[in-house]
Amino acid sequence: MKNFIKTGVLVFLVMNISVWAEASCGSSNCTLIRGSQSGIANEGRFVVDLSYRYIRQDNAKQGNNSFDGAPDVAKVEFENGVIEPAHHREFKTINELAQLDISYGVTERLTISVNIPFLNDRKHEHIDGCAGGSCAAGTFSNQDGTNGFGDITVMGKYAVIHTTKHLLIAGAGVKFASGEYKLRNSEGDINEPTIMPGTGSTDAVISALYNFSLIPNRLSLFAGASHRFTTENPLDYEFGDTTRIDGGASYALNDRISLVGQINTRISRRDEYLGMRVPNTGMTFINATPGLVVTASENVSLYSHVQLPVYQRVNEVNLVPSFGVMAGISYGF
Amino acid sequence: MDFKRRVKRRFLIAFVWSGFLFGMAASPPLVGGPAPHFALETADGPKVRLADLKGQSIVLNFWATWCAPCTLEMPELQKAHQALKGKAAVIGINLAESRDRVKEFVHLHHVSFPLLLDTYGNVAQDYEVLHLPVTYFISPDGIIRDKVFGGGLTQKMIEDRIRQIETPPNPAAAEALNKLKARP
Repeated sequence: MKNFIKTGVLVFLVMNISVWAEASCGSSNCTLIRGSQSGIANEGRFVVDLSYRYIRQDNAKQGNNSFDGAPDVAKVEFENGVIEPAHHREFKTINELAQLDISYGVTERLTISVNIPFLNDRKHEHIDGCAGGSCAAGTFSNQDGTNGFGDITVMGKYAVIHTTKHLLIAGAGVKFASGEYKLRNSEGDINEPTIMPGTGSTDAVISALYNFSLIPNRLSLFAGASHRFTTENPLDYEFGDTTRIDGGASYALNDRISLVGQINTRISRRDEYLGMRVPNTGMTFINATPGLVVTASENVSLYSHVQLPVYQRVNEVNLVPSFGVMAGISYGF
Repeated sequence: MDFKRRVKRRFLIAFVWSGFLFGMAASPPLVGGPAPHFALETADGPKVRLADLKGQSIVLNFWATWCAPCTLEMPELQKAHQALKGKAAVIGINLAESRDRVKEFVHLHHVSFPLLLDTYGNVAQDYEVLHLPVTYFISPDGIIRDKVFGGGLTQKMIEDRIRQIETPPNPAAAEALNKLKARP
């Protein structure tokens, strides 16, 4: 049985959330603004952030409409250099991602961060060989290459505007091809690109994030955008460029607990293989993401978010997430 | 377009974008310029304006109750306030906390100098406050003469700085200094 699958969605593209925490104190002073995943670290300080994401993809969509039944999606056959449309039928994909982010404040304005998705785990249910209407029963297991180390991203973030109430961070970085992208399935074939832990391509990433403290340390509004310029990987496969647009608010209920609400938009263009457009790839997702940040101590904060779909559109048909959950811990020193 | 050209083009776009934004980062220095105006209520209600304090030296301290280095510094500011009565005004500006919380702090720590409420942080924004505590020393002519960042101010340090800013500048010394600076 061939164990190919095309999720059409990479887990690291599905759930990316702005995480904010403010005011941290040292022995001689307290800084008003600090961030973890999206922000800047204080000069000479490290922020280590460990997060876990769970995304359940079990909703079938055709365009932006619900789709009855399981979608048939395409497969890229690298060995023969062809795309097989409607190759297999998908039922469910459960994505789990664990990521370590390390940020260091080089100066008061400049932060270097490294994002290390050290665990990508995808569990799938699908039926193979559906072309022609006769589907062979089968499942796809982790042993076929859906588990591994992902692509490391190194970003430089610079606080262009850094005042009591306004913070504008511009970022630029590189996503390296550190993750596996040629893993083979149980039959020895190269698995689908979208199921690999890495993309195999070296990509450029730019970002901008603006935070307005309506009431410093209590009520903040933020908006951000980023774009990933993808390149072709050595297998001649190119993921579509991805644009993220986020906006939201953070409100500190008290000294320890903050509520965060945000809208996350993600637009991914269609992938290409050997210059051909790959069916069932590319999507637009808009999610509502309520969350909670708990300041456990001066140096440690915990956070959790739930991602709920508001709008989902795919090219042709595909599975989309029904929800996502993210939890993490951030430690500054 | 081949692989290498695409990579080059995209990295160039990213580089230009970052260079454009990074170049925007600059702000004029505050020390040596006029102190930004403020008009804020105290925790007890009455409003205090910077203009009302003109003609005397001012010790302007930005703080918050959650800032441990700020609260550690408060007794020294209180001592300086008592020692400098009639010569200089010690003013605290609380950053975006509730009136009740500040009142409670006043009661617990026996602070008798005015603690103003900068509810939305607009005055802190004007004074470019990024860290707490930060203390500005304003001369009687309304010019910011010094800024002390971080906690650790003592009564003596405050009094010394007030003495310095109240000392009229020596014209001969200033001229000599300017000549030195002008040397290539």
